[in-house]
Amino acid sequence: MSQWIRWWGLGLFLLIVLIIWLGTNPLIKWSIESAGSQAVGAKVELDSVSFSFNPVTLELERLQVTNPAEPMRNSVEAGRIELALDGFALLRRQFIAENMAVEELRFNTERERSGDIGGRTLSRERREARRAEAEAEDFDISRILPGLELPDPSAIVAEERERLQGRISELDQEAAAIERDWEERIRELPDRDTVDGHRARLDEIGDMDRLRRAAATRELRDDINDDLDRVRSLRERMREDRERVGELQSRARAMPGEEASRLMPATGLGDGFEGITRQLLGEELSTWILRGLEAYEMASEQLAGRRAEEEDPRPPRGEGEYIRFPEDDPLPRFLIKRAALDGVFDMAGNPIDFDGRIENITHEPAIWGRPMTLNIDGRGEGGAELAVNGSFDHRESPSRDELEFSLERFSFSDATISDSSRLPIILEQSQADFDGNLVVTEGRLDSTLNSRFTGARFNAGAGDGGDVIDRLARAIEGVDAFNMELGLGGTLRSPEIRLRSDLDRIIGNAIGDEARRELAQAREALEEELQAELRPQVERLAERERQLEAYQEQIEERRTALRDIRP
Amino acid sequence: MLKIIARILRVLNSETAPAQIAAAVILALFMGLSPLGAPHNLFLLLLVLVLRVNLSLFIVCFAIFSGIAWLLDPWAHALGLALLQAEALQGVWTALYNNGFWRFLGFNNTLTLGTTFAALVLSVPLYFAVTWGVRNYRQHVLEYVRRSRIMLAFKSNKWGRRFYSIYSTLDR
Repeated sequence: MSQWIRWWGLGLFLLIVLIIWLGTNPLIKWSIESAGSQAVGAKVELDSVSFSFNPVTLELERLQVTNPAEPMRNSVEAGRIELALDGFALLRRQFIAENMAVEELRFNTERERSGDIGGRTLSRERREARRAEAEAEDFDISRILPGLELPDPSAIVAEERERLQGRISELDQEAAAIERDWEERIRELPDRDTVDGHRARLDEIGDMDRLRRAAATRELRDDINDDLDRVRSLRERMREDRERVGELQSRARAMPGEEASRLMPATGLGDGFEGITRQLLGEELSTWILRGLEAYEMASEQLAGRRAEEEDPRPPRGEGEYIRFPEDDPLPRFLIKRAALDGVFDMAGNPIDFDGRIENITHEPAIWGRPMTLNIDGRGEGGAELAVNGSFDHRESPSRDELEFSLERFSFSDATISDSSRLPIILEQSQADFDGNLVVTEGRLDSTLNSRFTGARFNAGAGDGGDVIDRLARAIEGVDAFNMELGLGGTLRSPEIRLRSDLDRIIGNAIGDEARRELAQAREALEEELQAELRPQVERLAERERQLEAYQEQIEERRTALRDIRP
Repeated sequence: MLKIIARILRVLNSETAPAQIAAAVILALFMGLSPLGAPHNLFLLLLVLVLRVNLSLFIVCFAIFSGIAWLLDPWAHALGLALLQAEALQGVWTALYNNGFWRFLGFNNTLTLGTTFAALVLSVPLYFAVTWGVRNYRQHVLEYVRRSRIMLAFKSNKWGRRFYSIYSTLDR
């Protein structure tokens, strides 16, 4: 027996087990940090991890999740996270937490060191997406303000050329089809020989005796009536087709004007300044909304099961794939049944203390059978009250997320509305009430946010923006109360943002007639440029109409001739 | 590296039972083919350390089998998947799946099952091949090599002398 047993080997084995035991906490810390950094695209750090076996608990101290767009800031920071785990489930390779407590949760906090990982652990696709995002952020609202840079009509036309050509070519193709149709159809028209034949027969009838004349006259009249019926049918069809081609031509002629009216607001220079608020505030709002949606999408994918549906069917090399079999009491591989949160949410410089609950956090909601729910209440300085309630149901397709939120009596101070170099806008002071809802059905967005601002005090303009900018700045500074209605549509990846506000009217009135004249001239120049661009196609349409007119003259001429000789 | 090779040769040339040598190769086969984090590897490690199997041979064979496992990963996954999806075995897998011990072992992982099954199938012929090979090497090849001119030339070479010195040190 001793020939086969190596006793020091047993000691070595126990030493290895001890090392693994002692290395559990660093190993868990490393796993969370590396997997988190990979998922976020920036450093995820923990101060310490403590795992205990009896009872099975996991404590994480100071979790920091770097904001990939701003590596010197954390998107989220949690002072302490404690999880009470199901030890038996852990042995079954399931991470089931009965309770989780997240304390001192904060957002957008400063970091001591940069959390940039330089794309080291990111895939190429994500690196490219981040680069595109950084380029998209290079935007200055002053480019679209009236009086600063009026749009270059040639540049707009060049940008829109393909689309415009496509639109007008659709009209031309329809007219061309009508014209081709008539090239065939006109052959059905009784020709001159037929008319001459009828005329000769009429002459012959004059020389006949009475009996034969009556019969021949009846026969000729019937033949001419048949021809006239054909002519009538062609005439009717011609009337319809000429109307249609005329309509197409009118649409082509109207296109430059319509396009100019459509394209001017797209540059931020619509008549009457409708949507000027969207242009002034839209960039900041868009940034907030897009960041919010991005965070929502990431959380939704991780916590509510969407990611599981998109997994690559081939597992990574060396990992394999875990196959499920029927269970008596199935549980997901990851589940946090109840999570209690408390922390501080900083909004426009004002902190809101909140606490709340999230239930049923899992990436396999279909197995768990319950949707994730969220309830958060908060209070801020000056009596501000926050309430957020939502459910994220990804148990079956189509998934549906619903979120209702309200923030009342919230005091703004020194909130940057626009950081344009030419027209910075700071809301120095205001009180606001917000309420809204968000519904996401299978990635499709439907959301409204109503806000009412009172007691507003703006500081706008840098003093060197020119006449129009100065007037705009003074108009904004004169506003003390306004409403805004924000709507979201489209999809999570491509949201459509609508913003309506009574600021439009206030600013439009203040800017005055001079700027309006300037804009009218710009619109006229754009229309002329569009007319020049589309002229050849419009003329071709006119040519087709002239061709139809020639056919109609032929029809009229035959009709007159046939009616003249009809006995 | 020279020391490890010398150790392996020492074992092959010694009186160590061929079954002990084969056991080292078989254990390396199981551990090398399986994913490193598979729980059953801890038990195999205990066997490797406690049983008097040759560690040098085990380490070399483990490295070789790990390389083979990396190359054959897609096939091992496919094999495991085919076994786990086999209609006839669904009853067995479902019973094991509902047992905590088997779930802990991760039998339902395609790679773990695929590589373990492959190791099981290969272990029997490999065991007999290794024992047969060691016996034949000792009976026919060893004496021939010792007396061959190649060995004499090897011993007179600088690297050969160094290797032989390591080999001789292990003898004491």
